[in-house]
Amino acid sequence: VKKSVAVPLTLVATFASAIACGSSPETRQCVDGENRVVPDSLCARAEQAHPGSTGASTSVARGGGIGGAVFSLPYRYYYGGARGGLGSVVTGGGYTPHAGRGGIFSGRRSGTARGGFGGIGGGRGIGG
Amino acid sequence: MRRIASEPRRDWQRRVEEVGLVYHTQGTTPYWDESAHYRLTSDEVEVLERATNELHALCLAAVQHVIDADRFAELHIPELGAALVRQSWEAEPPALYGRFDLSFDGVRPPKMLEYNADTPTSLLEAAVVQWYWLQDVAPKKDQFNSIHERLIAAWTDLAPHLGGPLLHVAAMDDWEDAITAAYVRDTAEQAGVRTRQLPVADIGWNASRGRFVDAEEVAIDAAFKLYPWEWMLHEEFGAQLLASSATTRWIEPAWKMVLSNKGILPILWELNPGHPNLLAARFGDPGEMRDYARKPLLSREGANVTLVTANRPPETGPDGGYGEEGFVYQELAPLPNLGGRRPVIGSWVIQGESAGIGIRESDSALTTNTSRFVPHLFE
Repeated sequence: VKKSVAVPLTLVATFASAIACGSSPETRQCVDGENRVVPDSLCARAEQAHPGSTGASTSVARGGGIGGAVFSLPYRYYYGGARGGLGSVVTGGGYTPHAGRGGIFSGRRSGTARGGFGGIGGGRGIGG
Repeated sequence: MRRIASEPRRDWQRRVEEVGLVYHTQGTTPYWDESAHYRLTSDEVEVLERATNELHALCLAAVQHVIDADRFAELHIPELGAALVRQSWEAEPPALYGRFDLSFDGVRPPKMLEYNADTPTSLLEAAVVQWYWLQDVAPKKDQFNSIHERLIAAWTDLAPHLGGPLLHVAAMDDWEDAITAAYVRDTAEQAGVRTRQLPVADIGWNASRGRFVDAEEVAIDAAFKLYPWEWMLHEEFGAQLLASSATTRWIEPAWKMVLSNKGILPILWELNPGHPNLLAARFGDPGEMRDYARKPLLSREGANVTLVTANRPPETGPDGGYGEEGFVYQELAPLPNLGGRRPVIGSWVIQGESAGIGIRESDSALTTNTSRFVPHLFE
């Protein structure tokens, strides 16, 4: 198979360097108050309700408990650490993105609705 | 096809990281495994190439059949999905790639296990990492791999059909997915297409404009997405997909959800009974099959797949929460057992043509997200 010897990969190199330097820009998981992984859509909606509050705790009411009692859990993004499935507890990271992450994923929020995609994917692999 | 033990490059971790494979080890187990390689003959490569092209042609005919015979319900595809499939099949929006998983021992014809036509992974490993391995260890040998060049050529062809100058690339916040997305961006930019990457969850819907937008409110004319169609359909923005189909082109297009659905396996068998590259498959129950794989219609990464053989206890993949949507039953094609390693050929299709292979191997007959990628060459 004819192929050029060099395969230049500028963007891959950028991402790989960021990860190798520990800035881990790609690992972001939505977690509840006990650092259990929940669907990303919960965090995206929380951010939408409170633009610019990345990393801050936001309470979202959820139904539950005996007799229909209602309790609240905070949902926020957790940066770094190993990726886990829904319900797993993540460790090894924190609630603040590393330097460098913002350059890749940042963006101001507006009245546009967000978080309408990505909810099912949290904790599930897309590969075949 | 032989499995040859080989000495890993002394600094293999650094070498693969240099070309982006930072997820080369899972826990303490190498995901990238160059302590061996697969050696094929040129005749075997030709067999794989022919089978891949043949299977892709059969799959396109099967999509047409699903549309004409309205078999979406059997695939658990809701009416919205059916409408999107029909719309995209007619409009022919850009389609880039897919990966067949094949069972192949070098002797019998390759058998199609499934077609990852929507969000195939292990792209960087197949296109780039194993190529650099070859340059280091056996530069005079060849490799069945023109994936990189064909991706660039594909973007060159697709560029006029993206609806605008900017291609958005959306992936989940995950190292592997983000690197894969970055690699796709690299190939697009080398074809002269400007790109921007964003997390799937950052895709926005601006109701007043009737447009999907990115985090900077820039309208999304075309988006390469590493996110499955069947998930998009069932999420909040799914309701906007049909009305916006003329202004946002999703790559892969919606008709690929028919092929990434395991329900395509019994339909392919029904349309092409006895085809040498297909395995018997059926909906509902295993019928008279003694050894078979029970696969959820929408399973990924081997999750909730059960292998049933007459003389052994059933073997089930990890629980991914799949199965409520129903199952198909596929005749078992025992993977070659090469010293306890079971290879699956990932045969890449770029713009409808066979473009190369990557090989993943497991210690069991199930290929899952913990399988190892092993490079190959041919002579």
